Amino acid sequence: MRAADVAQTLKDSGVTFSAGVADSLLAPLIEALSEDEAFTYVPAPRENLALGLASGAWLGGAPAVVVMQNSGLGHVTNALTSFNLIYKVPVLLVIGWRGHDGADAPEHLLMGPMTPKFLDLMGVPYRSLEGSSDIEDMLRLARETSLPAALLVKPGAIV
Amino acid sequence: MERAEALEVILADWPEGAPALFATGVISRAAQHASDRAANLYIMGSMGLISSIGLGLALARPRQLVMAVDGDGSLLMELASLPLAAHLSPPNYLHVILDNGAYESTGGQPTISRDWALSDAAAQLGYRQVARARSRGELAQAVRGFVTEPAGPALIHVKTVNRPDAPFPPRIFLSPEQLTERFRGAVLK
Repeated sequence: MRAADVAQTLKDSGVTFSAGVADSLLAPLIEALSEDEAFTYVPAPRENLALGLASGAWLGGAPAVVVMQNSGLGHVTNALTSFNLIYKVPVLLVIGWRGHDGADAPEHLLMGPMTPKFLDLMGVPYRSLEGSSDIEDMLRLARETSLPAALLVKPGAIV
Repeated sequence: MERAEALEVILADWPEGAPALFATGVISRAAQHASDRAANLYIMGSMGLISSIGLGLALARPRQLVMAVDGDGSLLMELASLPLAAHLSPPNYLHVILDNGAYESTGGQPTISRDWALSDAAAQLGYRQVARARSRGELAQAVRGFVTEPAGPALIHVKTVNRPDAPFPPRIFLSPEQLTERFRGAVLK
């Protein structure tokens, strides 16, 4: 998908607040969100702070997305398992999927295949991003369950 | 000043309908005990995240005053939330740190906060309204100052003392899910 189309789908679904940590796979999306005046994108110092910001925004009536690399999943585990999942604070996690096919730099080779298992373990539903309906569906799921949901973004899925 | 006193003072001047978030453990329990309100959210998990949640809320509700009541141990876990607050710079955000120099909820193990000039550091990082409150009077004045003329991001650093024989306040009586529902009902009307 083109980053501008991802941004448009988010806007059409009522999401205009986002926070995240830089990721090369998500760089086009981060750029699109940062440059779009209709969006607030906050470059958070760490993924859990991005999740905190997004959660606070939802509590204040503004549904939000977190943009991050899968390497940061370990940093959002405590917030997801002891806050979002039990306080029922929904958020859409847009997660760059490094190492997903087992071929990548060494630091991604363990977390790549672990990523879906990690989300399964936490009970966070996810889908691989292919088109705008995936975004709409996962936002709807988060809203209807009032729980976090995730989109996994493979290399090239957002350009 | 003890934590219970500090919370009494703070909540006496904090508008009833204004959102207030409380950090994990005994801070939340003490706040509920002092003055439970629908606009209070007791966040018993994700220690350290109270300030970033408060910031996100402050951005989403620019016309409401938002307070995050943190502890020294909690803040130390996410110290980057200080420059984050300065970067986002919401005028309606108040960050209160109840600093007892300990992780009281897990048995009173000391933190490393003992000698820090937190309010000075916050000012250096970019918080616009900072205060160090050493007495009930100073604390009341600092809270009132923000409430009457919010020019945040604001930070109030309150050193508190622990009384080892003081009873633990009761557990949070609503479930997390009930707390969220009650809170949003109060904040979003």
